[in-house]
Amino acid sequence: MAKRFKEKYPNGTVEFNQHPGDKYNELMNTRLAAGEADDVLFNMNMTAYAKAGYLMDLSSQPWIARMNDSAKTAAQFEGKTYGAFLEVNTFGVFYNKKIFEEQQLVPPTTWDEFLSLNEKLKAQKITPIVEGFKDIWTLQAAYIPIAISTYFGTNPNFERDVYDGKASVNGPEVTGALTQFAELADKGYFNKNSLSIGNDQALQDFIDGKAAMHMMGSWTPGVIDGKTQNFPLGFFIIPAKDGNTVMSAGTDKGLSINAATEHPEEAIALVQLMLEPDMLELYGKDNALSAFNDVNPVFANPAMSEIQAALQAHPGHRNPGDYFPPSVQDALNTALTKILAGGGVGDSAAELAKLYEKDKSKVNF
Amino acid sequence: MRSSRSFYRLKVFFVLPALLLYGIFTLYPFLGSLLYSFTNWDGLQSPDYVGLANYRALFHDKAIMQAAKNTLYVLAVMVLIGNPLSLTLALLLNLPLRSRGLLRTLFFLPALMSLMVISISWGFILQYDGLLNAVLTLFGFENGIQDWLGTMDYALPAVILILLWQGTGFGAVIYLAGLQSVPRELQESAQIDGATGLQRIYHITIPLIMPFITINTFLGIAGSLKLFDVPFVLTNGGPGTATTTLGLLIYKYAFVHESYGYATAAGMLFMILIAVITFLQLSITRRREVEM
Repeated sequence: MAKRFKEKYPNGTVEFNQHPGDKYNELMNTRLAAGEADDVLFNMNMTAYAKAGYLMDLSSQPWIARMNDSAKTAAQFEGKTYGAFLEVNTFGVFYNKKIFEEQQLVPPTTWDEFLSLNEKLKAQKITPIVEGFKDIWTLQAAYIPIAISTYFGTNPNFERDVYDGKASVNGPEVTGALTQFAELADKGYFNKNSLSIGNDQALQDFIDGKAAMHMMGSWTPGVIDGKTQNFPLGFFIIPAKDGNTVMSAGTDKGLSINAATEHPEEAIALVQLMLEPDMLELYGKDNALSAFNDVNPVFANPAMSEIQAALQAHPGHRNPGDYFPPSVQDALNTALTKILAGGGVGDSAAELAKLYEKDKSKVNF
Repeated sequence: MRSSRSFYRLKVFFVLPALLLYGIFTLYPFLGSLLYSFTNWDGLQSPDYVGLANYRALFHDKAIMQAAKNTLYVLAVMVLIGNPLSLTLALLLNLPLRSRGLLRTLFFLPALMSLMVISISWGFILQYDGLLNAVLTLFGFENGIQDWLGTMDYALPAVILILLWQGTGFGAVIYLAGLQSVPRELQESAQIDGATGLQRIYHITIPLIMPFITINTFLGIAGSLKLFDVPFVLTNGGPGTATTTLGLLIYKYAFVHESYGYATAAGMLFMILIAVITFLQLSITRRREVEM
């Protein structure tokens, strides 16, 4: 990419500034606050940064029209667009087709069917679902596929309604999703060591056939292809308990421009170049669903096609919790670990509702 | 006269660099924090003054209460069990054993390791497919196996066990230094007067090593109150809030919840709590110190 930029703009130079995982956000916050951030920013806080005035308004850029709806919404704050998202991702259940065939199981069409197939696997002494919850973020990979339908299956505007005071975090949506999650945990459908292993090991156990299912994001087929060949991978989504089955459509890899950049024209040109269809096709090859309507990356793994088919067949919605303050999302994870440790749902939703009220100012609609 | 004044100036001159560093890296951030604790700063947008709202909210914060409970539980165990354990170990290591040099080294070894390394290693031992469960299975206790760090009832005791394992040897070394300062004549004359071993420990050794009890209790209290790293690495405060300490919760308020103002206010109250507890402890144990 840097090479191509140089070909087009011989006077410009692209410098990459990479920072390790955990501290990326903290570091970017500090550098933005100090006015020392880079020109073009990969970031996952687009609306919060836009609200704070750190991002350039890109509403007039031609590439916006090429983005799909969830990416368009996610890049907007108060009617203006502040960047692009390169990928969309979704969450669901990856399953081992060989184990399913041996046990004569098929992907479920109702929540109860999902429970009973777990029960059958457990009765055969096969771990139904393997997860690596020690990594914390992985809790969401198992929660999102359930919560997406429970939150939005009957009311697509659930989070907006909470914001407007027409619905509550301590209502049937969140309580329902927590209760469904607890059903899986309490019946022993997750691996017994789920709280003490991370995602790497959970995925390896899934690849090794130690469990029949692994709830994770849509990048998983690409990761599995990097570790093994010809794994019999299938994908399905968890059917709603009540209401419509909804699929999560998260946006990932946000790209924005620093409002304080000294090179606005170059930055805009670079972003344009990065978003050209052939660049994005190369970027998404084998592992990422594109957030651009005119980009169709090639996927070696057939499970990716199953994911795409599911996305076309079901209504999509941004990830549950995208419009909750960070404190509520953190407390939700805490509630999930408590459920996994046998502590039950209890009054978790009431606690979340209190935090929501306290930190409501951090919700960016 | 002149020379004493210029000597004073010289002294000031030498203190200046340290004072400057202290001012920049301790005093200024501290005063800054005090100001931020009265704001709703979120780390991104410029802070607004909110008066005492943060402090008022803290007193109704259930999560803070739970974390305080966990922290005080750790403190109680460390002071009431850890401290006597260190003293007992020191008394044993003070016996004229041939292997005592080796034993002292072995018991002190954990204190030399970084808490990060210790946390990760113990994680491997205590996890569901870990060493402890393997040993239990080997001896036929399959029913007793647990995800020790993933169970509400066992997670905090497991964290405390690690702290005891790491801290007991260190405390013992401090006590050993104390024990060696107890004059042998006192012990011998007591022995001639017919005092038993326990009587000598209670009436001679303990009063004389009181300053060492003071310092070990102080270190134990301060260490437990600021406990952060072990639960951060091992359990991230979970499962639920079972191992969330005050230090960890304040960290989360700032860097996860992005409520920097609120977290700073919590930090301020926490500092006052530490000051009060350690002041009480020092005034109690100091009173029992005896002059030789």
